[in-house]
Amino acid sequence: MTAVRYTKNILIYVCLIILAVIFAGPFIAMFLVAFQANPVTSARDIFNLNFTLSNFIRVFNESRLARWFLNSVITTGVVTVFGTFFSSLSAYVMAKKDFPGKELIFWLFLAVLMFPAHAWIIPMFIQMSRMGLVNTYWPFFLSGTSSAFGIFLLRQYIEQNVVSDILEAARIDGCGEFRTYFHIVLPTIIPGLITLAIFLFIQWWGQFMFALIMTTSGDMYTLPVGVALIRGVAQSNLRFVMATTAVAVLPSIVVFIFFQNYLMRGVVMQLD
Amino acid sequence: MRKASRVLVLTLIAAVLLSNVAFAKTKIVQWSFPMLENEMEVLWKPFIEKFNEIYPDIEVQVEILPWAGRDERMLTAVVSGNPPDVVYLNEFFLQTFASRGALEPLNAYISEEVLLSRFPETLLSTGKVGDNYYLAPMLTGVLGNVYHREVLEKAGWDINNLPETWDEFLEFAAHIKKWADENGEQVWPIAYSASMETTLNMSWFPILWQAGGDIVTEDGKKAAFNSPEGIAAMQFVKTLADNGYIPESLITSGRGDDYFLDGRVAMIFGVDAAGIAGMRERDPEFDSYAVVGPILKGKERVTYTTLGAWAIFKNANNAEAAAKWIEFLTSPEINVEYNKKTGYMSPIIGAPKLFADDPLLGVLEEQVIYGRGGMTISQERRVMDVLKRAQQAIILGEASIEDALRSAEQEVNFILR
Repeated sequence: MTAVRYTKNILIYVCLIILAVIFAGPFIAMFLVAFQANPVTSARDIFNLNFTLSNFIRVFNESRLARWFLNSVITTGVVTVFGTFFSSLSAYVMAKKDFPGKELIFWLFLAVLMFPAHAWIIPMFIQMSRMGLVNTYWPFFLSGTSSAFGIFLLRQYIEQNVVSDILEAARIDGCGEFRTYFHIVLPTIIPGLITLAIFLFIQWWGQFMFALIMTTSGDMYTLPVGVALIRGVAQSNLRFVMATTAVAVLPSIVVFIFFQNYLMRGVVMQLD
Repeated sequence: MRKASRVLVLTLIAAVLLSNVAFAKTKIVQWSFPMLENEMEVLWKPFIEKFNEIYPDIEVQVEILPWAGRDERMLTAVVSGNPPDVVYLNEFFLQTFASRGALEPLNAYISEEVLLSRFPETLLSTGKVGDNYYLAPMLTGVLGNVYHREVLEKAGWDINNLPETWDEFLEFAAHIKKWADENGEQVWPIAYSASMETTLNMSWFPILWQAGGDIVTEDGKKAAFNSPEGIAAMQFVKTLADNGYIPESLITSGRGDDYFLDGRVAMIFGVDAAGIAGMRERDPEFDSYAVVGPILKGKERVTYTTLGAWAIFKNANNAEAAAKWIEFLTSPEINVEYNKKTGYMSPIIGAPKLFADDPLLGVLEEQVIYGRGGMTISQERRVMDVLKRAQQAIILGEASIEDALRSAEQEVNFILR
């Protein structure tokens, strides 16, 4: 019996290792090429590493990567912080308050999730264009800080983790709505907030189409658009392209590595 | 006294307003897509400076957008009624925008006489719908065949006797294959990509045209490839694949550059100036072994020519100023400078040979005369996808040539209905 179990475990681990290599392989190859001093013309050149930082130095010197990085930090940062906060406010109301039409409003929020981005991007662009907000950070802020997904996710979390009796007790003790929210609800749902923040960060850090539509000025591009621009002119220079891509994906990888438990929890919360 | 001061104030306000009007610049926005690294400094700033010496009252703002997502970006701008004034378009975008009435006819601003004196009529006609010209050609690029001198020497084939026709090429391929098999070499005669990512403009379409066939009928309303010529063109590709002349991996993915740079193919099919520049960058020794060979001939000697052109969008802020900018960009002096820097060929009549000293691009430049443009129908990409699938099914033996082309014909006719 034990031998069967061991064999089973070994097989499972072998499969997992193979899957890990398949999924991590492209990322490893990307970093190896980005740090490669010699031209890369075939797969074997990737592993014959002659280490250099010059590709990264060149990327920062010859493109506006630093500016695009800053734009990505600003847009993703604001969207992540405020999107998480505003979603939690709405989610709290949806989870713990009763008012006429609540369910309808909640289902309308959910309906937003059913629309693919291509369905609303043109009306959104027209709106932003008429407001004179194209080529500014505002389309990102206005669109990103209201997240139907975030409201759905946090409503589940609040319903499961915030006990209504405590809210009632706080109210009896004289706490107003905002005080109850800030002192009782917010500290309780921090793990849920972190999970949502990670989702928003990953979603907006890699957001290409929205950023492409809302910006036309090189100074306002975010990293995904900037990387696409560089790929367009330097596609034959693999080291240059990979160095650019590495800079673009590194924050997402770091966030994933450090917060993967929260991401898993988020997936489970959606299933609940 | 009060009246006099009121008049003075009003006069001052009027003067300020009028001076603003008098010195206000007409602003035009151009969208282009990246051709060079550091393009703004190398290309556009000097051009704008020169233009402003002639037209100081027109401000030109060039915005460089990524190639990726350009269809969506341009369509969004057009549909929202907020497009740029001038845009870089390839010929296959013509119907997409012209059929929506989204483009201004160039001949409304630049006389037909000037246009015809500047560009070859065949090229200019590529951008013509009805009686109007919508595209002002800026660049052309022709597809050629590049042979590997070292591979040919090892295989004992005379580099000065490169194939001119399909039959000669099949003979050449058989020779290379035989040599590789006998010597245990991992070398194939040709790098021909049939992957879904490779545009058929750079693979099967030139072969179809060489067979004397065409993709769609002249009016663009029906498929034309299911013909004896289409079958012959597909048969040619299938023969290459069935005889093991093409590396198997290229049938489903990738391009042939790696194979060529590694000396594992004798010839790479469908390389343009940008492709040569890319391989040169990857291997500084590229010129020592690369040789541009003749355009192959089936019934005809023909290859694909890309066309890059300028167009004016309908809702342009100032179409007249946009036309002046386009006229400036397509003037012989500026056009030649542009193409010299971007590595393309000039479409201007009588333009000097830009690459006469270049052993590879110089030959390609001579081959421009064999070039023809791709489809200009708005469903171009969808039609191409159908044919890419058909080609793969044929090569992989999942369908006979006749069945695959018949089925593709039905699908394409449905798309074009």
